Amino acid sequence: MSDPRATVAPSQPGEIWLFHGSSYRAALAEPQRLELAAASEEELLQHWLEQGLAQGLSPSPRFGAEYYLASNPDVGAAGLNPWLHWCEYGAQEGRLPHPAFPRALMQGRSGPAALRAWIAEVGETPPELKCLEPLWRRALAIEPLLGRLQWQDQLQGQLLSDQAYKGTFRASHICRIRALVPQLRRLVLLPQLDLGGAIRVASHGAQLAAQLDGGEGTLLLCTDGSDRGAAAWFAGAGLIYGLQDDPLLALDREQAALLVAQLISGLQPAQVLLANSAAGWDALARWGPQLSRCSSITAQLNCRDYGPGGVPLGGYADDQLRKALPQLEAVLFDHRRFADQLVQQFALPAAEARKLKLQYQPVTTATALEQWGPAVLWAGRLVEQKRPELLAAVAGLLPHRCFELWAPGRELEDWRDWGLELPNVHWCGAFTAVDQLPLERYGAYLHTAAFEGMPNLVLELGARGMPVVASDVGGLPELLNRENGWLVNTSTGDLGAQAGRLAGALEQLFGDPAQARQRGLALQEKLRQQHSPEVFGAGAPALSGFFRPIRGRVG
Amino acid sequence: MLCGKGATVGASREPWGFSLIVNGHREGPLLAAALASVEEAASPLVARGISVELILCLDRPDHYTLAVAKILRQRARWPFRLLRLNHGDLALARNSAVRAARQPWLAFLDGDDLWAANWLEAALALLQCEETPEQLILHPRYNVYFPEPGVLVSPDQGELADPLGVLLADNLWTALSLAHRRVYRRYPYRPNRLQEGFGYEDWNWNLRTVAAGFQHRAVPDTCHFLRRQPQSLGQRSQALGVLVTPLT
Repeated sequence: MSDPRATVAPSQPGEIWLFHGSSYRAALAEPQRLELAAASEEELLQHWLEQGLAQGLSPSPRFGAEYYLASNPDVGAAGLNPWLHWCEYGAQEGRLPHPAFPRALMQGRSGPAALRAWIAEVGETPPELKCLEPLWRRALAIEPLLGRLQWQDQLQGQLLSDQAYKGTFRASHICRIRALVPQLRRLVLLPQLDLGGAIRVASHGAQLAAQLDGGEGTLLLCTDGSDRGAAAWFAGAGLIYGLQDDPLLALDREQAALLVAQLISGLQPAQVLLANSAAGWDALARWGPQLSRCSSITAQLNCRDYGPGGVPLGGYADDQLRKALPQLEAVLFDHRRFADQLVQQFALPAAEARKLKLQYQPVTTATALEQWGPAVLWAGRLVEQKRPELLAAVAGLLPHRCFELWAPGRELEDWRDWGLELPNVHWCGAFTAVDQLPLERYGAYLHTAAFEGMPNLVLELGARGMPVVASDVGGLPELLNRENGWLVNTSTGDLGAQAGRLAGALEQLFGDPAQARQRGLALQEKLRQQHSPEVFGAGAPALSGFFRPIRGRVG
Repeated sequence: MLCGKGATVGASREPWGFSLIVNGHREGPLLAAALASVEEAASPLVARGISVELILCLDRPDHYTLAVAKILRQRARWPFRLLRLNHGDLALARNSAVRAARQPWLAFLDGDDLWAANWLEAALALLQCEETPEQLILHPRYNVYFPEPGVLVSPDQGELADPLGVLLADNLWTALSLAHRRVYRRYPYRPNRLQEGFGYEDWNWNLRTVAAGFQHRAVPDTCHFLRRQPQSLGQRSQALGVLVTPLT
């Protein structure tokens, strides 16, 4: 690195200068310090380049030149400049620039990059520490307990490692959000934008609200992760911001929850939609009474999580909803069964029970194919919830039938782990939308999940008239019956028995193509009546203020 | 800090004068240290002929604290008023002290904390260099915590691209500020509503004054010494899960 100026200058737009003028001036001997008392930052920089660098002075309070030389005698012995050595070699060799530097930030970075990472984390430090010591000594004469301060060791170390000169990470996020959405009207709290049913439901709500105001003033805040696979679902619905996108500003769950609370109480969006965001639910559970004074909050819930053997693992309904329900305007469910179950199980009073509302999700029907193919379609994530082992068992019972697997938005390498390495089971890869699937190849969609809300794939494939064989779980009984599909009990009996019932339904379906087609069309008709975008849009304003125009007040 | 300006304020050029307000509750003899630090910080001003008055404002004090306060009043070398209040709220107590203040400039200290010896003189020097000092709210550059050590740097508002945004997340300045009386009268502290989950009267005041266009400034080379008290209002608020009272 031959140009010393380049070691402190931003290497790309948006980066800060590493040269810290007031620190540098404070480190100079008194005659020079007085001489430069009114110097500009650029003049101070020139002084460092022309004189200070050669004297071994540091351009930043976060690089301890004396510390570096003391820790690395080989540098001094070779007559090398400590700052330039660290920038060019030392950082990548893992040598620390300062005793308080977090080693984890090294990560093979160059010196300037590592220093910027540290400054981004804790801020620059003004160096006028020398002024404090005489003040402390005078105060010590008044307050003996001040004697417990180990001045040089403790305070100076803390100033350089634990001060909030530029604010916390939360503050950085809020400033960025204010710049992104100056007038926040609607806030949608999401975990991340992964290709899953809960996110699909959230996108429908956000898109419907965007029809009211074009998404202006709407922030789609991803609180828990940085997956953006489903970003297209939210196109035009608002501006997306992620709390975990910048690794240097990542927040743990507690801090993310506090940020959500501060965002709502500080910016006071008129409407908040809470959609499976862990930080959002935590904030609501902890600060619900305050937040409900600032904004009207609507939540979405779809289903509980269950573990092996059907043991409930809890979830937002169990962990947070029971406490937070009085502060919510409404809780929207994509099917009725789960809402009814909560009302019964939690003994909810009528006033609270009325907040649990049914909102069937929208799907647009399309012309059904005249001729379906001979294969069975199975699509979904290869996780316990979706029961790929049950698919394997069904495929084992029907060796003459071809089964094809698709997974949403990801390439999976472990599909064989589920016993799916069978001659009649074929892994087809990833998809992001139903339209990408070669539907003409399939005669049935097989849905084997152990628990569900109202599965979006059943809606989307049913809307195309595809015959469906599905487990009797979640909201599926509210959609499927003997007239429009095959709803199969997969909750009782052993795996073989469950697979046998599904295999029987498939064989009945493929054995009577006319009946299969008739049931497919009946399902399509039911979706048209119960799940059309028109029905969804017409019913939404009565469910929650989130789906009504916001007038007057702007946060 | 030298700027060659005179000893009067702004266009109206009212004489400089300071009401030094110490808020107390149940500090007992800790008040003695606080008031000794006030005396030390005020001495250079008095020596320059600048008027100062000390207002010890005790809100629901216990007997012990009141007895200590009376002894301190007897020892006072300058005008000293003892206000006994029954608010049970620090915000309202501060407002009462503001109404009682007779000098144009007010400086706050809590009864268990200490000012550094140069606080008032450095603050005055900064004010004297300003064309419109009434627009400023001053804080020390550093807050030094004891006996468990800690230091927080108070940023100068001008150093922040979006001070209001930062303030929504973090309280940048303590209540131990110094500003013109009109600031505190126009923007009185809002009472804490801890039962409703809102508090931090100083944080809310910082938000409102920044939103109103005042400039919070950190006075170079100054500090306050702040005693960590397990039962302090701030720590009680944290335990209760309190949020800062919103702007509106």
